[in-house]
Amino acid sequence: MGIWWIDAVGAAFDMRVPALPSNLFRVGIAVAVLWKFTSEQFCGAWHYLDKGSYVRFCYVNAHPRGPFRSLTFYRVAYVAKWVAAAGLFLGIGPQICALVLAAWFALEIGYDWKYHTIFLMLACAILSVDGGSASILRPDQLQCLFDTDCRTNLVNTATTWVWPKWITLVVVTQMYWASAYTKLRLAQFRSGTTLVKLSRSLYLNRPLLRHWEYHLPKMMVKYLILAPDDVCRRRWAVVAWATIVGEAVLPIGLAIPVFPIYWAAFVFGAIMHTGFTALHQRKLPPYGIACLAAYLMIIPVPG
Amino acid sequence: MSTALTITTCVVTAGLLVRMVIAGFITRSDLVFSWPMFSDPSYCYFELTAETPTGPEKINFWDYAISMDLSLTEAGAQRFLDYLREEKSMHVHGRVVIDDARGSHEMKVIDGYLVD
Repeated sequence: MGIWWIDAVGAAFDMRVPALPSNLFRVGIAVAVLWKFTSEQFCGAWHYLDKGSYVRFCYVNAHPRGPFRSLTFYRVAYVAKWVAAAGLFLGIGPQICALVLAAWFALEIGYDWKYHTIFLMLACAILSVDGGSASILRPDQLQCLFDTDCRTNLVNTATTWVWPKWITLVVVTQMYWASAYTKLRLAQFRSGTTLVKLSRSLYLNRPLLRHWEYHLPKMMVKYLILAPDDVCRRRWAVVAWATIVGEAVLPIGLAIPVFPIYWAAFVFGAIMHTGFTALHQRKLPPYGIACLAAYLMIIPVPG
Repeated sequence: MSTALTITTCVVTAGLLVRMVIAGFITRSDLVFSWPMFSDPSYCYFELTAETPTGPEKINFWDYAISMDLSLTEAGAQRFLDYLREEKSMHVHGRVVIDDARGSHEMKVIDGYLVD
């Protein structure tokens, strides 16, 4: 088995790879996007930028010429993002849908800046240049997908351009390594202090939140939040170091073109994101799903 | 693939790589590609009361925010007070506690302004 990401560079990205990972990536990102939009819809996203709202006040202050000053534009873009998310999921015009979603996320971070939104924006930007992301998994192929011979033939013959896969590997690697590097440099994070403060802030503010966002298990509250400061710090320091090491090692596991190592890294990544999601169950599932979809995108290419 | 597309791809890729290295490992504060997740949070606790014709009324920041925010700085707290003053014509009093990497710092709020 060759190393596909080295071969891709050697070929100046003039190379084809199996399209199934691309298709799984597209569906995974679409599910993550639809999850995020649904969750936000229930929290009143349609009215975020209404006149007189705090969100609008912050947005206009930060972006005096921002397009969302027009409520009509916001509403039109809001409808467009739903149509694009549905199109991406169904594989109808996936590239243009991905482009619309990338543009939406670029505008969304203007009033609600979140790391997972940036990751979704990058994933959609990548999908917008992937011509083969809907060549297998789409409604009009369902009959073929249920037939073993037809499915095998379709999966074995469908190919796509290598660059989206290659750049996904780079984005995933850069995200984890940059995150691990920043954490490693911060003494507050290494000592567990940051995570103590974070968990206490979540615990203290939870009763004040307008919508349900997360649940903190009693065991976690007892042992990691309400225990004495130094005890909490010691316990969270273990989690902090596990996160740093995990984020540093995971991309290596995903990039090694040996399937058992890749799948071990995949499972490890899934556990790590489940841990992140345990801190914020409403906001972080789309990020976890998007990351797992990205792992599938960079699965090793069989030699 | 045409030569033009190959050259464009390689140039875009090289540009992205440089941008990723700068944002992720040198400046570490850019909008995209910096990724300091969970690493340097800043929390803000508000205890605010507004004077209304019907009497004092407690103000809950989270009734106005989109969702739980783990990066509320002093500037963010002042922005919320500006909003209450300018948009809602509310004159609030109370206190604000900022808890970030430098430690915990309490400030008074008098007539909608932060006072050290």
